[in-house]
Amino acid sequence: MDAICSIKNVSQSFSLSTKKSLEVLKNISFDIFENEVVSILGPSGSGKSTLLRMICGILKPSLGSVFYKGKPVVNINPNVSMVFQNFALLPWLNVEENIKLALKPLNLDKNEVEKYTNMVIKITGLAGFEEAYPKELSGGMQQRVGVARALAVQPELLLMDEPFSHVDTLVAESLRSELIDIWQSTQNPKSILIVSHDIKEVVYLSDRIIVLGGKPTQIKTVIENKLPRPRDYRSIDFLNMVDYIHDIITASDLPDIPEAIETQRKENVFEALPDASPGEIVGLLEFLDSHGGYDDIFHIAVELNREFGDIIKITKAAELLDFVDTPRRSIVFTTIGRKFIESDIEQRKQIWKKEILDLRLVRHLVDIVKNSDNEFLYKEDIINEISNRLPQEDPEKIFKTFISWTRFADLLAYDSETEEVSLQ
Amino acid sequence: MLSLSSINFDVVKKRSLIADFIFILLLLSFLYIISHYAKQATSHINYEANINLSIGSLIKYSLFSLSRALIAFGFSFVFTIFYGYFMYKNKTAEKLLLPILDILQSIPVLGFLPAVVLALIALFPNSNTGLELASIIMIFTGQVWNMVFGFYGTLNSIPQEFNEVASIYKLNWWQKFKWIEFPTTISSLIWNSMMSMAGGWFFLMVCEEFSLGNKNFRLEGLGSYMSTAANAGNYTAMLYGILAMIIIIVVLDQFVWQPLVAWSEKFKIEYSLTSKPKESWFLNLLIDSNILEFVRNSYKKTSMWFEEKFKYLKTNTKKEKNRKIKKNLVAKFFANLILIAIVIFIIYTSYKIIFMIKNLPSITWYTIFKSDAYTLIRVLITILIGSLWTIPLGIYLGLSPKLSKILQPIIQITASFPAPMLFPALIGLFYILKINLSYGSVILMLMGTQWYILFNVIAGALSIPSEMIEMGKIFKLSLWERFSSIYFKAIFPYLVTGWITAAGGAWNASIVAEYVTFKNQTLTTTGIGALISQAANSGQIPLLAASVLTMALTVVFFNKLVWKNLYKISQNYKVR
Repeated sequence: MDAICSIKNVSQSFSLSTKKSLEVLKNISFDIFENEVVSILGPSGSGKSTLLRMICGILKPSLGSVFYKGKPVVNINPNVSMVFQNFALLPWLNVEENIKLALKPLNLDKNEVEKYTNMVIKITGLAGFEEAYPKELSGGMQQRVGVARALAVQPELLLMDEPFSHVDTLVAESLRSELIDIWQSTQNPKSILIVSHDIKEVVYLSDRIIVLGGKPTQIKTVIENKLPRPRDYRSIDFLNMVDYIHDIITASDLPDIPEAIETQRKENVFEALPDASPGEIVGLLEFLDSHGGYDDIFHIAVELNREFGDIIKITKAAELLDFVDTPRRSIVFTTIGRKFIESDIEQRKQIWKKEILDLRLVRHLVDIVKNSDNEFLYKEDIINEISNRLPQEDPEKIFKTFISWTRFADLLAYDSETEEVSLQ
Repeated sequence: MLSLSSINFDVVKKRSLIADFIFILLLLSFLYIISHYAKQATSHINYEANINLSIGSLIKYSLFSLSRALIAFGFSFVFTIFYGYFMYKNKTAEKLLLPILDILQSIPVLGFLPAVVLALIALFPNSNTGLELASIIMIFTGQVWNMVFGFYGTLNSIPQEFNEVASIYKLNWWQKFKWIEFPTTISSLIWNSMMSMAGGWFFLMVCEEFSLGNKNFRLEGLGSYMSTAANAGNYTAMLYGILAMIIIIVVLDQFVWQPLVAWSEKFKIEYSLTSKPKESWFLNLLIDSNILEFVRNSYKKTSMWFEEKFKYLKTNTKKEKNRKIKKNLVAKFFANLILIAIVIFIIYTSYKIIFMIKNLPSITWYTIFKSDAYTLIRVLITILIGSLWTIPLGIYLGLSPKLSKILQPIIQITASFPAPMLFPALIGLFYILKINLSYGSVILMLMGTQWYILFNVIAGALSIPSEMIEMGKIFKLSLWERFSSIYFKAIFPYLVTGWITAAGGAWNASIVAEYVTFKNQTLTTTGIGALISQAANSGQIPLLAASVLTMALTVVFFNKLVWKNLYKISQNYKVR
């Protein structure tokens, strides 16, 4: 399927003075396909809105280009329309006039203007407010006008710039569900691109979430959101997804992974290795075994007299290796974890080896050691590779974990004198 | 869009001796100029100074004029603080002083002339001081009203939360002034000061050379130099005079206003970094100076010392409370005393004026009203023509911040230049082109006042939210649609403010636009401004009083009836 809109290698810098310039966006690429809602999620000041302006054609990227249906966007893009964060309604025009203003440049005849205006007024729930002026309306009602105006021109792609951030929380919830209803029931807009910093909002609205982060802003990851519609803010799956994204944004620790997106993760992401030794992980599993295979994470921390943060790290590691699951605040064995703990030491090493080779980073690093000329590499090489793959992480720590994990599996050996990593 | 934390201002402070040297040099030359001027101002009386058109004298005259303007500005500043603060703090005073300010603002400088000159010469019969003071006070009347209005306006627009903070933390009046009122008003005070200096220059020629009946007065200064050059028809000297004026304006801008503006940036009530902070090379240089650093540190130390003292006093709360009550009573008593004095003064002056003008024949009144109507029409035409070109240009500049940043300083300096200095040259042009002064005066008035409209339109265009501009583009509105539906309406509140200021300026400018002296010839046309100038020159005090009164009342009524309503309507178009 062809993308209706493609962003290709876009970077943007602003000049601060004649000498200094600030790079805001770096090397951003993504596509928007027909019939999907895509979100761009990122902190404020990350240049999300700048991306929307590039798709509109009112801003040129410093580097890279934006394509709409295969053609580069040079002028104002006629197939898109925008909903603004601060509504951008003209205070001197009433609701109907604000909507009709957007229709003027289309040179429609009078009946058509009336038809379109009445239609969008109806579907956005503005009937009865045609004569009202923006300042007489609440924030939520004002944004309905903003949406109605944007829909009136029948855009293929609707761009929304933090549309509900200046609207009451409850009102925003109902506006979101109405927006999805409109999108599903009308021909245009075919697709919606929404910029937001609200995780709940993007999980509720979108099929795909583009997570931005870093300075300059880059794409951190892209998450497919396959939760069935209509979505429920309070469902477990929904909350898990929100937690997952929250973890991606706030920390580089390995997050809890809802099933719907697990395959996606394994393909795309190099996982950071939590700073936990095999001994600690096995210790946690033993403890769990002796407590009936199920315990509360706080309770474990108290019982083992360890820092809560340490327990979290060890748990993350065990979870990454598929030994445990962490519904809410508790830890339970998976079948693999149960099998591991019931095995003898040789079998344990086999299971361990299989599990760590499922991790993309470990597999990759072991592969490069295998493929090296003398079947060994220096610590420095591995460190370099780690910092290339995971620029946000401390490569020393990950190296340490990597060595301890692969040693435990009898995969690799490490000589701390010569700093050589070799196959066993 | 950008957060402050993302930008590193790695400022490494380097103290430099060059900065100290320049600072001392400036200080010394300033002292020299002032003392030189003071010597001149206290020398034996000389009603009609001889003006020498040589360049050497021009430099001296320019420095004299600069000294007068600065001293007048000092008066204006002190007056502004007291008058504005009094109105802000005392509601009775506000009711009385605000209308007085309205009237005072609409009295042209010549309206103050006879009283000021006669009184001060009587006070200092043997020295130049009286005459100099008269000139300074006349310059003062061109500067001060705008400053008071600006200061009072910003005092009233201090965010309510700030005042609440002051009450919650029990700040005393000094702390409140230092931490809330001063920082919130300083920025606008500086901008208004710049405008006021320009207002003072505007009537420089009138303030340094004037006649009262058969008596002529002339002081050594740039204004009188220009008048003399114009009377002699000496174009080279006129050009030098204009150059000297431009230099004064640029020097003041670079060495006083820009540093002050850059310094006041830190007091702006803004929680986001929307525009780049303004910089001044001179301020940056001064920051490097050891001497200033020393002054700053000593100031900090003394103020801390005082605050420590204060804290000690404050601990004795009961005593403090009693003292406070007593102090408040005393303050109230003095406030009422001042108000009563003002009321008595107003009654006395009104009585005097009525007594003076009650015997004027009705034919004279007819002339006054007719002239007033003529000038009113000229003022309105001035506003119309001024708007026609400044609205599109102002919007264009405001919407392209880069361009407005380049052009703003140029426009600012052009606007600060006192247009009347160009009038004699323009009169020569009118003469050649056979333009009647009745129309020509509109052009003269326009030169002095169109800037107010332009500045306000630019400010209005700058304040249009970027989303609104983008909206017009994204929905592909035509240029005309964008202008008429978005831009024009969004700037309308600012435009009205510009009109009000420009109209006030145009009325005042009429006294020099409708009555111009060139090559020893006086050109006049029917108008209240011409009438006022004639009355002052020929010493017809009753006619002068009647004309000034008529003009002032016209301005005030027009403000109340037209501009105020238009302003109210325009507030509906406020974007935020």
